[in-house]
Amino acid sequence: MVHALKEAWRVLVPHGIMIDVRPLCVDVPLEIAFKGGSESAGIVDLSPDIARDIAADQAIDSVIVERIYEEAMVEYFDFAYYWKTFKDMEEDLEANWKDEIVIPEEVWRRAHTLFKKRRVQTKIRIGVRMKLGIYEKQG
Amino acid sequence: MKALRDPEGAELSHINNTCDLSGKTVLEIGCGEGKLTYQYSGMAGRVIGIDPELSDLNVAKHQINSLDSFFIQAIGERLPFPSKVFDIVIFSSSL
Repeated sequence: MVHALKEAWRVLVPHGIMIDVRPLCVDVPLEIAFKGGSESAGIVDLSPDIARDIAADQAIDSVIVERIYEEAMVEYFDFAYYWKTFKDMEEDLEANWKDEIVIPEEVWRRAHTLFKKRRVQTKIRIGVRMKLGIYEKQG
Repeated sequence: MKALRDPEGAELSHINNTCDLSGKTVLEIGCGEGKLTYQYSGMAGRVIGIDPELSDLNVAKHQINSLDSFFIQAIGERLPFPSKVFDIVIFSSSL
């Protein structure tokens, strides 16, 4: 990661901007969203990939200490993924999120129950917490 | 089927609020299928997206039909570009 940050530094113009935007491995709700509202089925565990979070933060800290970047700002925001069916969601999780998420059986059951209410525009939603860091090239 | 990703546009909205992309030369590292790239490619001057996955890059190329957007198979640790050419580098969920 530090190597990639240094490569980014190399290709940036003087005082160019490096943006680090990524999801954080914090527990978030699994929700059933529908027209006019949403209901939470419970909390999903995104901690399996926490080591990557820590490594990314350490890499950023390292290049700031080295004074090749200066932090301009850091903020956090919510970011949602939606699926229309549980089949779509299960296939996607299996293919792309396999080692990153744990959904407790109880949460799955409650999500299915809420989904079966068949409200208008029902979708399954996971809202992740994103970190946005803006850094200016130094030197 | 893959998830519908951020239909509210929260990611671009937050980036735009903190960093002006207009007219800039942007490198996006880890562009994947170009879901974020697609949203800002019209406002940036020139965009280059890199990703190690060729199949994702092919999707991005089909989605973004712009003369100023380019997609290249590469990794962040070895960028195939000369020094000091980008105004902005975005690590898109790739750090």
